[in-house]
Amino acid sequence: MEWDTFALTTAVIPVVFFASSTYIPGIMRKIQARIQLRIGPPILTPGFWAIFKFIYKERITPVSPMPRLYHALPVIGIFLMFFILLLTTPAWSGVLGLATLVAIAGLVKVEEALYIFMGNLSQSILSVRMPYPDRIKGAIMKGATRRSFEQVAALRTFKLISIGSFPLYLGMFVPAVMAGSISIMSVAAYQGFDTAAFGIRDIFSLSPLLFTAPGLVGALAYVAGYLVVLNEYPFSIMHTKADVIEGPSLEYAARARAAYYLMKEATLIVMSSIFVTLYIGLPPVVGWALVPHLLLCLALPVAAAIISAFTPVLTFKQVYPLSLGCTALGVVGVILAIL
Amino acid sequence: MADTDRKERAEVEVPLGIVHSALLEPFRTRLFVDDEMVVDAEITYDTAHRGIERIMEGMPVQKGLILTERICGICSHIHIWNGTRMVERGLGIEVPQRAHYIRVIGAELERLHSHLLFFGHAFEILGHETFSMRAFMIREPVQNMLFVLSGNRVHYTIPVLGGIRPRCDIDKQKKQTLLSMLATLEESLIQFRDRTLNDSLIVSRVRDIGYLSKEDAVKYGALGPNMRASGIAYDWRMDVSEYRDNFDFEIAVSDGGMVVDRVAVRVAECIESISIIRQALETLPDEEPVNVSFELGPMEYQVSYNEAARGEIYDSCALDDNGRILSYQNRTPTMSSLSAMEVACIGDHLTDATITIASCDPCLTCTNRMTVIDEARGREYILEPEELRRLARRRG
Repeated sequence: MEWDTFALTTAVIPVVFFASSTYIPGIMRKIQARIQLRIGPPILTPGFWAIFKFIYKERITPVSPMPRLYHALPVIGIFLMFFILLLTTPAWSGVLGLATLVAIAGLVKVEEALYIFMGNLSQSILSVRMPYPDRIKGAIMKGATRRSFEQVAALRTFKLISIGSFPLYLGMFVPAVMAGSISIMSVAAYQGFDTAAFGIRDIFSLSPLLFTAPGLVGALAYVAGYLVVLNEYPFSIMHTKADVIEGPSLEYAARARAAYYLMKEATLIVMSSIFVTLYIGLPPVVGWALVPHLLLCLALPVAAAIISAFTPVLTFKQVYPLSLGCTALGVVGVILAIL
Repeated sequence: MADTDRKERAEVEVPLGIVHSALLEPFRTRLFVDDEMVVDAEITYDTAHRGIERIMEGMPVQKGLILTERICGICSHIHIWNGTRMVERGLGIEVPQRAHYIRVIGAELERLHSHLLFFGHAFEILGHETFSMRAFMIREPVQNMLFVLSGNRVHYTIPVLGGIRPRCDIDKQKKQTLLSMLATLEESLIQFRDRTLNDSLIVSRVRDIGYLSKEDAVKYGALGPNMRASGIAYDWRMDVSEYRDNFDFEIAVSDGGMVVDRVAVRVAECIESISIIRQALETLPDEEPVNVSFELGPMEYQVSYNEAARGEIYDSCALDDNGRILSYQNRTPTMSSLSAMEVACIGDHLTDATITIASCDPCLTCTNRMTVIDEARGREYILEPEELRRLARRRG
């Protein structure tokens, strides 16, 4: 292992991705606004300036049995995402043998589970309004247990984790089946990526799996799973405005909300980066080749923005069959890859 | 599983409101759920009180009628129209036919913008921001038409005792402008209808939820489009002479009783409203729009009904010797339509329950009152401000 490359990658890649990710929500909002014949917000406002806005807001202590842990969860999420990102770089390919799809799938699962912890660790004031039945008006009397919006959202996250994100994992493993290895670098090398020396001119020598039949099917499954992991429309039942409002993140305010936004932005770009690595064969490397990688990372957020502009929030009545359909698509991708 | 068994199992309560992003109005909903399926519901809506009927007590009738318009910002015209026609009938005031036509145009434009507001709100609750925005975009020309007609986008104050205000009269140029705007509106509305009601994802969200049977619609008093979506073919416009005697129109009815039917009925009503407005504009009688030769005086207790965008409205009052209001009462459709939604949302998913409740197009600003019904003594009275303060002191 070359320690200087390792140190440079560890220092540069997260910073560049961190900075780039703050543009993505603005681009997505702009696309949605144009579809809706609106001008939309300035590109930097929703992702970049929003962070500073929240940092300078007055801090509040959430109604939570463990407020510090609750506030720490988005920070854990950010670190987790950038750790996953580093595992997809050539410099980290030899570190503890973690640069495999199995490790990445496991870490993404932890990221998904964070929302369950968030939901169970907080209770907003909106969930405790009028905490007693109005007996004088003949209110329904039951030995009722109150369930807060956050608890409902946690329950929904659990359901989504159980079934909704299958397509993502199948989409991840289609390239592995084709390359015959679960190592990230082996998948990239299978598509023509040279781990020893890769320049921007070498991009045109790549043979992306995306342009093969199993790759295309796997990519579609990945995109569906990407929307589920992001909790984006139409899979945003975890934080649908219609009932649970913001769901598990309802109590995040000020700096904690800024951290939550950064976690969402990190998830947007890192999951997209994994897609570029697996399906285009272009992992993030320090150098000019990082520029096309970052540009390609916009593909999935743009697709997500367009899809979400044309879909309502789906309830589990629609999510289950849709998720099963996308899972079947992923299975077809795996079968095609084996063949 | 029997209904009673399910209800006994429903020990988990999810409270929504009084303040909630999906409930634009102040009412509280308690949903009792089994997992996330609603097995019982309770809606409490008397959380805001404006005392508008109390303010009208003793007020000169002209002033009072203008105040009726302030009951609601969405269906303002129908309130002042219904109140005005009640007093005109009570005092025997003759109203020119031209005024009737222009009042109908105002009411139908109001129905259009109210229904389009509903579509915007409904799609917002469904999470479909694009269609929500488009509904509001289509609504904008309707507001402009109201502006062309009356000079105001809200609170148009078209009717006055004996006819309409002269500023709301329609000359040749205004008529051409309104007809041209109407044609554009009709085109965009039909496109919107075809796009939304054929969108499989949208339809999958609003079909098979919020079922309200015909029997339950009668039992719980669902009104207006909510009642017609459950197969009851009744519309007060068929009994209001201004409509019945002058215009051809169909009542939009659907037998399904689901949320999709409540949406579809409103869409059909929008198309029908455009037809009525066009008929009114094209056959507008050529005469003075207001009759000023009448005298105010005492009036016996009068009642008047009309069909607002949300359903039946009721007004009643009497006038004293000086033409001042006695015991004004106004009832709006949300009061009973919202109650019917307690039944309709049973069996829905939690997220679907909010769209079911919203599908009755609740409007609380015109609903809440403080009328006390004392069953033991068999009397009914409006709570005086002093009495309210006294009760508050005693509680404190």
